[in-house]
Amino acid sequence: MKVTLFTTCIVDFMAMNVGKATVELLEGLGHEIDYPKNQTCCGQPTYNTGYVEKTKNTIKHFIETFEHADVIVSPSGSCVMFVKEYAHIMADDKEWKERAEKVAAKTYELSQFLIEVINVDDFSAKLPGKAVYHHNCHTARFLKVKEQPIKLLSKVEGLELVDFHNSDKCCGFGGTFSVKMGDISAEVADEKARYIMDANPDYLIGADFACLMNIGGRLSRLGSNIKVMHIAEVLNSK
Amino acid sequence: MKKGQILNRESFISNLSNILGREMPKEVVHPGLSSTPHLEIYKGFTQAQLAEEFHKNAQVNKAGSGGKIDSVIIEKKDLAKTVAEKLVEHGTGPIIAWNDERFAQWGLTDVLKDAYVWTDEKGRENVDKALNAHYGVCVSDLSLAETASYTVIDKLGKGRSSNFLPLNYVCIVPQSTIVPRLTQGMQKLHEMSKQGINPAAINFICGSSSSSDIELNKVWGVHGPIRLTYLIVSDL
Amino acid sequence: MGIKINNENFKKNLDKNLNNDFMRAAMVKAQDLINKNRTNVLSQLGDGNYREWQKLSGEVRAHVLENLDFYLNQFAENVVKNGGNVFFAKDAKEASEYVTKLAVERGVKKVVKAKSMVTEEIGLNHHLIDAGVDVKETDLAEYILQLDDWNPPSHMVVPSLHLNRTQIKDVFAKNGYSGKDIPEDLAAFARAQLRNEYVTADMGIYGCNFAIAESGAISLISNEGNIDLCTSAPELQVAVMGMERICATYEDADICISLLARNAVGAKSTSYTTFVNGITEEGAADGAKEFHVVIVDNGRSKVLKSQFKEVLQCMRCAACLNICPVYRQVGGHSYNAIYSGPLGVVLTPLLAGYDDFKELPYMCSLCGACTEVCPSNIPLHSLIHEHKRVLAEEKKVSAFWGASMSGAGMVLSRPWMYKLGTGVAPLMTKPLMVDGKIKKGISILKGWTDKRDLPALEVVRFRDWYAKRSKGGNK
Repeated sequence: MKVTLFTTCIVDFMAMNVGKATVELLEGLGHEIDYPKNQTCCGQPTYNTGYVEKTKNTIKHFIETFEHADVIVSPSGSCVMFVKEYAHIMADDKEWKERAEKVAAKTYELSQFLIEVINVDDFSAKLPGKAVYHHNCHTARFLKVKEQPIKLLSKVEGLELVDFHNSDKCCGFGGTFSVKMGDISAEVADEKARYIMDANPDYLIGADFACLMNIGGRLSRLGSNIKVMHIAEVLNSK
Repeated sequence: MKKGQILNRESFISNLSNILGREMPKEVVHPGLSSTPHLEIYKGFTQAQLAEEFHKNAQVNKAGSGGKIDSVIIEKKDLAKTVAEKLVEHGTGPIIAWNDERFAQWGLTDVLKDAYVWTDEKGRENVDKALNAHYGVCVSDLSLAETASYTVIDKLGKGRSSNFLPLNYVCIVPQSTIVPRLTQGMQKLHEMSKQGINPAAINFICGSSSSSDIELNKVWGVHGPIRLTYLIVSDL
Repeated sequence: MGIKINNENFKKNLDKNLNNDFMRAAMVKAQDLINKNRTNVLSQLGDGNYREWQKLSGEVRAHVLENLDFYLNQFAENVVKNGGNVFFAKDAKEASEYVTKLAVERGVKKVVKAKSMVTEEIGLNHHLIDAGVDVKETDLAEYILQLDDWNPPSHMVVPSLHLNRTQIKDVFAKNGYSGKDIPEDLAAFARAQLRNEYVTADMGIYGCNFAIAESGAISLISNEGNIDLCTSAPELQVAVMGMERICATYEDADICISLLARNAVGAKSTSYTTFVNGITEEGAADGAKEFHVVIVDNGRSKVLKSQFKEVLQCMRCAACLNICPVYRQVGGHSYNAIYSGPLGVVLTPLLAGYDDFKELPYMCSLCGACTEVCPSNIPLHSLIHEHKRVLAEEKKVSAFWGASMSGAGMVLSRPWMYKLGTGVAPLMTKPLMVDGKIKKGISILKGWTDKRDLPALEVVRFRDWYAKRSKGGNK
């Protein structure tokens, strides 16, 4: 299958390893990667700060860049959730609304794609050690992608997944919230990091780099050695 | 009592009609509920099964209250004896009871001979008696299995404060009064209201007076009864 | 007091609360405990399909709002049939003045009052006190707060959540308590003080969980039973309700109450679920001889007209406070208003204006947990976002963010600018780097880096790696 990859902006310029792992994982499963090089961002930074009108050009750009695809896959559930909001945001413009709906219908978060579309759940991945999984709010709550990553991780040889207190709660990232209300955001991240440290894992795994960057940033400041990994990197570990 | 009045109605209501973009409708047809999960709870249960559920849920409340709430299932022949036991279980003291002919029918005259009977003609004396009562005795008008709640539908002879002031409460729950849940309680109030009967107060009560306002520590008897005991009577 | 609870600067107030260790520990404990119980009882509701109940409750509440004129009119007529009176108040002042005038005219010396958010909102207590009426708050938490010189509530269901037992003991000690800081003993002291108040008060004032249009009843739920005592002993009684707190029928109220108790306190039912219908029977020894309902608009009709009208479906259960990651850290007082948490973020600016509350909509990570739990099916996080939109696009509150977001919008919709920007960014942030991470940011980045490291920006972006690889470069 030809898979069109939306890496997201954060992965592009802050976590290229996540994009790399996604490519290698999908290619390893025999799929062809299509990477539209004009891609930028889903538009959440401006939208979530309240600037809806200023977001519409970004949305249109996304649609134009991706509407040729058979299937669009992204290693970020939050961005996928937002792509699925496009039609609602463009509701007043019939043409763009329809184009948005078509794009949304073929956009998947990575673990969702692996389980729901191509139905592969074994990658002969190996990663020895104990891990916790952080559910991204938008992925779990709105995309309803909650079981899929856990199912995938359960197949990773040597990996023991353990729960931690309030594992389904927000990490405090929230896009521009993390700088606009930095004090509060940092306190949420601190509590999250401490609960993770209480579980004493080797790895913190997530399916959205924004959360991982946030929690990881606090873990790092607290001097923790817990390694932060995106699920694509874990599934690509041999 | 002079007839009640409604003040400022016209301007207030017409403002809302304006906002809603139309005249106030003469009639509104309620669309009904799109699904009815509330009707499924304990559906088709017999009275005996409902009594079991009531008792089971009261026992859950017992565990949650450190024993402040309790329940037993008994037969009518043991009612007088059991009431007598319960009225000394937490020490002795003044008793207050409704003015209810069922007590006599069920053979409780002797057990309640020293009880103060709520007598509306005596006015505020009743309230003072309730304030100082060690025990209150009542009969549930309608009993909700799901929450182990009893119901007091207000009428003369029962009093209002009598239900909330005594230290310990003993409530007789005839098995025939048990319904699945609040849903059936609401159906009853709906039917009464359709007939123009709107009792001044309807109280659904499932526990004793409690609060978690101090560091979320549950404390009992913060204003009213500290203990509540149900006597579920299987043949009433 | 009204909606606004202090005049302090938002940031200063927030800092103070973030440094209040007891309060913060209390919030964490409260959220974890209430949520555990809540989840547990909701799983036992019917076959555990909460989503179905949530949807029903939302329907029931939305139906009333669409026909609010009709149902309020029907309700008012039924109250009168039950021997009561109804006063429609357009604002806080009218409502408080009506109740106070009534108290003064009837020669009321003492009022026993049950906890009610709307009476807080209209500032009723101080109105009565200024008129020389003695007001006794009877809810244990409100009683504590009243004795603590009217300390404002920090939670809709547990208003005294921010105070610890020692602080409460000290408050009681000023009023004759000589015991220790044991919750049971403190509660027993309150009991001894309050029981006599009920039976000697001339007037009872309480709120309303749901008014029932078809009968004219007011429903009230509580664990303490203090509301029931306020509805029982005093001869003159007043119920105050927000105009949206209405259910068409008893059946509708069943759905709402079934969710309210479970969400508010994590129990299948509160100890007391009460319906009061006007005045008591002729000849009864207690109960209301005179009954009034005050129906308060105070800005709600403006909300009904707006894109925020779904917030009027709220039943004040506080489930959104109890799940919110922000409320958890900052506590109720940080919202500077009696309504806090996600509900407060949505409602406060609508009732009290943006001027004093323009920071509130940003106290949200848009995680959506509030929307997920809301028993009235209100899309809370979407309404919070709508506030941000209004502030950004209509009020243009921040020139800095306006310009930044204009810039971002331009860059993100123009690939060449995006590529250029992300290409030079690593160079620009290089001076901030320590051990491969950004530890000390400047400007808006400071909010992040005060407590968190930020990964270095990639010198080789994903797109660079991919381009090189496509040309047969490093695999």
